[in-house]
Amino acid sequence: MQSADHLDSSIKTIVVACIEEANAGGLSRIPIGQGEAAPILAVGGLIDSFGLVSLLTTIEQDLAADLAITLKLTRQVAADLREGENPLATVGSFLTYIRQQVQNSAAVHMPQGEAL
Amino acid sequence: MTLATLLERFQAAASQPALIWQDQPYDYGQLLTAIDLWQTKLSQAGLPTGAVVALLANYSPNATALLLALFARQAIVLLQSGDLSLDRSAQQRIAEVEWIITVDATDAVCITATGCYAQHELIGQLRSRQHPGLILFTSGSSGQPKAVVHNAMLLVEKALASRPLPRTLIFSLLDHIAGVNLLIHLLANSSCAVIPTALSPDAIAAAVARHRVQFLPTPPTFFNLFLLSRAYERYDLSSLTAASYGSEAMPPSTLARLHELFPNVRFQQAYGMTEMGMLRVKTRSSDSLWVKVDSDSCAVRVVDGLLELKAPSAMLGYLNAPSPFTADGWYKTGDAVELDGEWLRVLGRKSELINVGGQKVYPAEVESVLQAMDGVAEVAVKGEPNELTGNMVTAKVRLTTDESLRTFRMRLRAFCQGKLAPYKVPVQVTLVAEPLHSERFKKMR
Repeated sequence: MQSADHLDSSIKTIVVACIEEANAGGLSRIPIGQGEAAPILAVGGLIDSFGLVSLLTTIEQDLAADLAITLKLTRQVAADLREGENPLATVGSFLTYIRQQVQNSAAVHMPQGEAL
Repeated sequence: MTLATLLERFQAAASQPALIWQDQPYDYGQLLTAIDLWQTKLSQAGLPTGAVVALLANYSPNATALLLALFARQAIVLLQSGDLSLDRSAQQRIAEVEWIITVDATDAVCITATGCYAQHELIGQLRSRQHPGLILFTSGSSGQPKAVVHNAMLLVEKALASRPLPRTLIFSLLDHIAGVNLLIHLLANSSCAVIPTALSPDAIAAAVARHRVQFLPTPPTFFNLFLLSRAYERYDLSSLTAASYGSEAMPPSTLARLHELFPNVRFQQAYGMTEMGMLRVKTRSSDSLWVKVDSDSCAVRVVDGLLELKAPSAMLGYLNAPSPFTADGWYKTGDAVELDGEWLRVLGRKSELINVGGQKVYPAEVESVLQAMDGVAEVAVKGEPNELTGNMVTAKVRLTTDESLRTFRMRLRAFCQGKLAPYKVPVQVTLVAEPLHSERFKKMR
């Protein structure tokens, strides 16, 4: 089983790779060179709804393929955006959000009585 | 009268080949003899005129002779060819089949009565007119398969009035409107129908080369595999003078490649559907997807961007669904079209249209671009619900390379830049190993 640090690192690798892929494909212009402070859906970030759907879907697919983690990221993000929250303000906030989603997902699937 | 004319033409062409089956020629004289024989045998078996008969057969001399002998007995024939995915018994129940005739792979025939008596109003209409009928099932790609009833007399009349075709390979199965229509068309004009032993690119190319086929009608999906297989490099295809494609939108990239490889072959679009039969259409040029429907045989109108047709050769109706015709007799095809004067170009099925954040995307357009990528064997595009944009474009791709999903996805996005608007570029890409077409070469989205 992966350690929490290793899992965090793997998630970050996937997210950064997917952002770079979206930028290379002309779907976004996220200044990834700024690291975790880089804006996504905020001033200075540049991504439209098609780019955002593409980015979220790609991350969902790669999390499933590389880490066997199944998330309904697009659905959850859409719901949170409707509630007025913005988990995609920066790369850092987005990573925190995904890690939280992964933990929630693990908690849902954890057998009763077993500690996290 | 119509069938008598057909048989007179057979007599006049008695020594000419009607069919090439299992690589052996069968001439019109042999076909006439077989039709006579089956008329006698059907009578001896007690099969009454106007009976509803399921003919379980692929193309063969006996199947062809039986079909025409049944027409001569004013039978209403449900055609069922060898496709195990279709529920034959369910189809026979819907068609109220009274007799079943099976022609096996060796051309042996078995005739049995079911004890059923057909009472559907459309069957009654054909019986009262003393006309033969044809029942074909739609593929069911847009819902439950529907049982389409045609007046077979009208199909034969139309074939007798059509211009002759050169030696032609029949690709579509007998229970598909394109297959049975082409068979009747060829026979009505004393042409020769070449029946391939299989539908693989090599089997088709071998049949073309061996029997000097001049005309090759197939679906675009087959042409795509044909190009990928490079079967054209292994056989002498110099006899080909014309080819047609239909049943789904032809990717422009595939057409351009075919045109480049076969500059002396005239490529033309075929357009038809089970409900309306095959229409006479003229293609603007060999490398064009624009067509004009022959106004003498079919009236055309476009309502809200969708094609509607009215033709005397239209079906009588469905056995298991309400009439799809408007009150004034127009059939709504569901095909979205673009118009340029009297020329039209089919964009795709309205039912397959993907609405991405209010923008329209036709799968065929996206497939055409992706199909032109190196290493793409097959691609199938469709829409999936998405919370942010309503729907998103997804693509299943079968590759000839061993690229990872990520590498291919990046290459796809780079390739699509400047060729597709961003909202048309597939958001979700899945690599698959299995074919993306059915046994009948229909794209499986």
